[in-house]
Amino acid sequence: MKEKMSKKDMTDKNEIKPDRWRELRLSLQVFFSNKAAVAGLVIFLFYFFDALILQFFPQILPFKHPYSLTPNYADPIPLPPSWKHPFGTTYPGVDLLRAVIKSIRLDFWLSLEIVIPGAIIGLIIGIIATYFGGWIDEVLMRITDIVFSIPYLVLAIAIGYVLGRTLNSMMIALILVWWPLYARYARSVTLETKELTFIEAARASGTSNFKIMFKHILPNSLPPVFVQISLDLGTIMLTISALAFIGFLPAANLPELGYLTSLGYNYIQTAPWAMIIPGLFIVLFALAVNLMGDGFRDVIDPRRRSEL
Amino acid sequence: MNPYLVAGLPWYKNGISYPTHILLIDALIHEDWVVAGNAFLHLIMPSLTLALGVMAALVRLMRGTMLETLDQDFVNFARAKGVPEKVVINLYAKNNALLPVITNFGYLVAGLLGGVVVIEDVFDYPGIGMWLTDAMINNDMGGIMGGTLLFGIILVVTSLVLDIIYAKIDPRIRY
Repeated sequence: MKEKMSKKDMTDKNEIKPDRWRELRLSLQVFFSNKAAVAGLVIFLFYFFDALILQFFPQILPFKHPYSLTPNYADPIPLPPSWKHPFGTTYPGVDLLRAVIKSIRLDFWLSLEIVIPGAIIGLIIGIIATYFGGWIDEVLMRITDIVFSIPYLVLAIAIGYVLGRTLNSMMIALILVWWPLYARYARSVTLETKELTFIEAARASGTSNFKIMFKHILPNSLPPVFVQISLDLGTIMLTISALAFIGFLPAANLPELGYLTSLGYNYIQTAPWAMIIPGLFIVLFALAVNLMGDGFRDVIDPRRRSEL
Repeated sequence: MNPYLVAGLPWYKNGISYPTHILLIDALIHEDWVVAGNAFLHLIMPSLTLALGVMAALVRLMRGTMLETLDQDFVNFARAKGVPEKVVINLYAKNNALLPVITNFGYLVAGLLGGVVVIEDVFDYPGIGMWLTDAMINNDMGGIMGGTLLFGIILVVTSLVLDIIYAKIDPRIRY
């Protein structure tokens, strides 16, 4: 009897394991068949490792001050690209190559710090609203609609006045406006999942509402949310840089791509590289993340899967 | 008109009246064509920059809905009947594909209003966005509250207009 049980267990495992491997291989195949998505992933990894190295091992790179810009007031006028300064310099004699490498750290982690809490809040609100239905759904979704329609730059400015214009208040302001999209995604998935039989079975066997919501429904809504997170990283970076560009952050010498762009702003006629290069790095990140997100979307799309 | 009486009013300054405070429209009202032309020239670049971003989003959305609509049975039927392709697209498919685009247009306008803040700063265009930026930098509470409220009003009015257009295009919708 015991032998039989163990044999059955073995066969079960053997049945599941190759299937999962096949799934994973199929996903990778779909992703890597999309050349643009692979290019996006490579660029994203460059940004990621830049941020990682500067955050955790700044001593590897030859920077005296890894967390602030190093102005050179002896030679403040922007210099064109040369061997000493491969990207040229910007207003108070800041070397652009070093400045960009330092800036990517802040922008990258800040966009992650905004997107992930935003996604979590949105998921929780969306799932709670749809699972309970009735007036809870009505109230929560109307709040979502209201927040969704506010121009986020304007709201961020208003919150910046209330909380003070710092990095933290920028983060809070953007988290407050970034969750509604995720609430909608969670809602659309939950509406489908709620009616399936395994949820009914869980409820019949006496599982608590909390457990059904966050153990059975939540994993089903994760793939589209993951795609949206990867798409949103670029938008968030654009927003952060836009806010820094118009002067949301009063702290000088903060390595931030939008702030770097605003340093070169007064020299746009005579030294265009001072504005083009930081702007280029913002756009490059947004583009790469968008291409990568499109690749991930193909991976979770059943129609694309069946083609291969 | 007695200049001493209206001197403090913002629409009457230095002997010139500013009915709307929008340079282009004021110049047109005064029939000052040179100023009007110049004001128009200075509007082109900022508005083009704003429009480009929204255009990309709209093209993407329109393409998706158009592909969906062109797959539907009534389009196949029209083609099978021998209706020319131009009529199929312009008369049969376009209006149906426009509906979800109009729904999302309200959110695009919200994005536009956000973009105004940055673009007016870049082009030094003296508009609401520039004013809001200045208010933010100077910690001017009245300016921030007024600007936010004004943007809110613009958004609400836009979504109202969009709802009316929506009902006009799709006769199934009744409010």
